[in-house]
Amino acid sequence: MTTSTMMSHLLLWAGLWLAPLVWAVNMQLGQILPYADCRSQLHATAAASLIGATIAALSGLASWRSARPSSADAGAPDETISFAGNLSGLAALVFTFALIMQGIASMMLTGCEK
Amino acid sequence: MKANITGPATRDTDLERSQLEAELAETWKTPSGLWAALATVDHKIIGRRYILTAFVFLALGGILAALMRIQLAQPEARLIGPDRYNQIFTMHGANMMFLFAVPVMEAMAVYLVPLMLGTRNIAFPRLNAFSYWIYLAGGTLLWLSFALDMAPDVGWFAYVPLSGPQYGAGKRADIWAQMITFTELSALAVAVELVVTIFKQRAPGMTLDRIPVFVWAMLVTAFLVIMAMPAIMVASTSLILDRLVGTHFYNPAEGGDVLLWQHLFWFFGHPEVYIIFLPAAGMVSTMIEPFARRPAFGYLALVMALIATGILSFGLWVHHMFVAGLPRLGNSFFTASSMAIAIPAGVQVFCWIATLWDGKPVFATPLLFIIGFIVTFVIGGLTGVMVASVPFDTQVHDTYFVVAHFHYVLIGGAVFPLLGAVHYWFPKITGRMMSETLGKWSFWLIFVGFNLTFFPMHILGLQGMPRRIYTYQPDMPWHGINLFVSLSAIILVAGFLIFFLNAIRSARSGSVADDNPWAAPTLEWATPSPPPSYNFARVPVVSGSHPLWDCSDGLAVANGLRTDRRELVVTSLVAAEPQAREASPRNSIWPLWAAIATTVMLIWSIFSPWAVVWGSIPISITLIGWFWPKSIPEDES
Repeated sequence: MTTSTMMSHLLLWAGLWLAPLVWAVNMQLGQILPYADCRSQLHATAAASLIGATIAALSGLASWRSARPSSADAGAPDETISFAGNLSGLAALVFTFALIMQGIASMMLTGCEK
Repeated sequence: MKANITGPATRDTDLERSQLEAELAETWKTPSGLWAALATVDHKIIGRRYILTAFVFLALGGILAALMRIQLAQPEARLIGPDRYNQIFTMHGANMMFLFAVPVMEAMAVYLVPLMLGTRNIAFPRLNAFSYWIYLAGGTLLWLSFALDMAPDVGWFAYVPLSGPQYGAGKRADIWAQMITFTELSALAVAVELVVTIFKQRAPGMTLDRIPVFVWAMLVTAFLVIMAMPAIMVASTSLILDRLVGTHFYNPAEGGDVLLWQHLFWFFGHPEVYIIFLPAAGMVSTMIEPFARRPAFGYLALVMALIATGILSFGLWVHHMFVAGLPRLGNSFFTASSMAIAIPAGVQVFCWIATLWDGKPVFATPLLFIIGFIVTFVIGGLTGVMVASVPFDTQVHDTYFVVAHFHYVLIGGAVFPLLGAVHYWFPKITGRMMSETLGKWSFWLIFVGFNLTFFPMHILGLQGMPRRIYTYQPDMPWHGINLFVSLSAIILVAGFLIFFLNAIRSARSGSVADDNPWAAPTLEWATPSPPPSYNFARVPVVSGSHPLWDCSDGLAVANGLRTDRRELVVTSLVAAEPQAREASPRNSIWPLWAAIATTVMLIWSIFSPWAVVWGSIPISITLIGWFWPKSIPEDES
């Protein structure tokens, strides 16, 4: 598998691996950063969530753009490539929404509440 | 063994249809007799056993539920004492979750997925046989302990320190923990089989965008099982180590942490809900097509919803721990994910409604159960959004509101579709139709009985009635509703009795079903009812997402497989292009011996840690026997 083929595969499925990965990392940050937020009155948790939401949205965009038949690899029919890209793009939307919700929650709390 | 009719290395292209079928029947058959029945690796026979066993456990769990309702019908009832009541609600929960709900969904997949994919057997068929025997052993262990009045009494999630060495005297918590090991081992085995079958054994041409939604659902479910269940196996093993060896995983005095148990349990426990729900959602998406008489609306959205739900389900577990004292900001992340998961669930509901709206619905029994599912599951989903909110959850935590919520989600979201699925696939499995009249009676009794039984529990919860109490005082304001709930449960029980009666009666004397009685589009209906041992005489080739609707003049088929040995087609992951001919293992008694050896080791290890050392020797011997070459054609692969 050449580098360009691997890149096109990664982009095609980005919404299904990168967006959940960012969300999973942010879930962990959500357990760690509140302590820092409470001590320093930062909004690091909110910032992390919103940066994550941006990455998730971009991963969905990358998948959606890769769904065009012209960028498909020769190993699969155009419909299947299109399906994979659109599937990934739609899934990324759900994770973007979850990350935005987490970001909004982070802005409403200080991190000190028990 | 009887020799094949033709010579070695005969291909299906060399044979006429009748000769081919005779040859394949000889190669793939399960001979008659007890020994052969114990040694079979036919996914259909094992799937049937799994389904039947799971429904036996459903009936047993239902009897326990009825006992609890009799006890709670009046204040200060003395039918059941507190110790036995603790065992009963623990048995009910553990039985329904670990012995019924998860296994029955995987059982349906064991039977159906290879047929829907157009292949001749599930991947790793001997592992499949092993998984059934292990499941049966785990269930038997739990119910034997109940019969001996030493059943677990620590609730289905067995929180420490209640289940730890300090408070959990005797072997009750150990039996719970080891039952977990049995059932999770079984579930993990089936999950691995399903992933490999779906990835590598699809019919040629069945690209990713042509996979039936039920199969997609089982693929996501299998990954959930693989990622979630190790957490509970680690938890139950470390609990046994605390109790038997004296480790301190959950002992704060020695550096352990009781909250670790809750994290480990719920990291498994919340995905568990989706391990039960996603197959049911897949069943609905697949069953709705022939009854709406059109393809399911939004195939892409349905598949996306399954995958997104599966992944998001790993970010919800702390909503079971909102009162455990974690930072509020951390909790809010789980509130956000718990509410976000409503999006893909809602997408599916709208797709099903759109399918019915734009179709020409035929209101047969399976469709009634689908509609009952949509109504009930939406109510359960809405109360789920309510308890995802920390302030609300804090108020209703451990009350009957939560009992009502999860029964709406689990019975509404899984049992209703499952009962519809039994009516739908019954003709394929048995070759006979279920009675429509009895089916409709059972649906209406179950639907009405369920809502009358469980909806008032929301009110009981809001009135402050806690879960897991064996009785209550007459001056509490719960008596009237409890009596109503218990009387309503009679209707629910009547519905299930009619369902079981219908299934037994129809299996014996139902009208004979043809190959495709619902005019459905998926591949399992392209083979006779019930299917022959080899599933398909010639492997189908797929050119659309609804093979039997797309090719009204007959399916294209692939040729070239050997008939003197069990052989199937391996295809590529994305495009399902044929890659190789692969042998499928023959029947073997070794999976049963391996399961017996594993059972002895696991039960022995409740009493002595040395069981793991000495018990591994017979297990190793059985595994060597399992994999030892037998000089049969399949070994050439």
